[in-house]
Amino acid sequence: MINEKFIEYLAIGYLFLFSLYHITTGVISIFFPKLALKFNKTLYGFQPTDTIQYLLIIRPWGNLALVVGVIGFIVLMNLDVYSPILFVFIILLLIRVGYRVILRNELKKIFKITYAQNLRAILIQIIGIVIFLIFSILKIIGKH
Amino acid sequence: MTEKSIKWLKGLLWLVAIYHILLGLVGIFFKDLAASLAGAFFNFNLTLTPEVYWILNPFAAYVLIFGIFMALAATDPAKYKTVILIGVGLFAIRIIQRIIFLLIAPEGLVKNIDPVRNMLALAIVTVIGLSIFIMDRKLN
Repeated sequence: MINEKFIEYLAIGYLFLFSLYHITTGVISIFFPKLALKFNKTLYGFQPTDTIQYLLIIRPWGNLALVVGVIGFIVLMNLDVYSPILFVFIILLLIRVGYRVILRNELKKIFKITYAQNLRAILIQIIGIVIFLIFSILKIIGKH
Repeated sequence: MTEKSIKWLKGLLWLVAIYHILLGLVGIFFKDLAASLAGAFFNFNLTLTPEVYWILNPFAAYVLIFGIFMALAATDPAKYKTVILIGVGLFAIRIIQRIIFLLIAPEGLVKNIDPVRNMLALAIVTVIGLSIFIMDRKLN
């Protein structure tokens, strides 16, 4: 039997880190795009050489990451009301896992991201998908 | 808030949602088109190098997700009032960034330097953002 309280704590913990990560990466990308390059290199091993175009894209990307992070904290403050938003986060994580799996060879070739670094990111995202999904299903079952 | 105003708000939110969802899908599945769309909608003069080709994936994913947020908000604006406000905040940041970008970006990076067209694009985003903001504030 699944311990509902345990799953809820896991969902809250993951959502907190997920939101914090997005706010941090969003703020850095918007206000300190060059620092964002170092941040992504440390976190993902991401080493672009075409930095001019990268810096062009990183600001609007940072805006959207910030939005995701802020909405994440809004959901955290009232998980009962905003739990449907978790499905949107699941879609985001699924897309991120999808292109990391499909384009794993390109990632290694273009950005020198090793398979181990890629696998680590994929696992972190899959854990989120599983936690959010179980939590949401339990919420739906609980309502009925 | 009147029934008519709610319909207008929902309509605007759906417009924003569909625009972002389509843009996100194009970025994920039709990257060759994405470069020209980046020029048309963000004024970026993108060259599709292998790196840019890859970076478009996460960027497009977030564009798509923002569209889904707005679609969700359109289904029940009163419930997702705060989400709508965050969306308006994004509009505001984008307007400021676009002005700064057009003023200080190196010429080769700016796709469209026609000031009238740029002002028009900024005006449209501002009007949509302000309209959503005003209607959102009136929600109970």
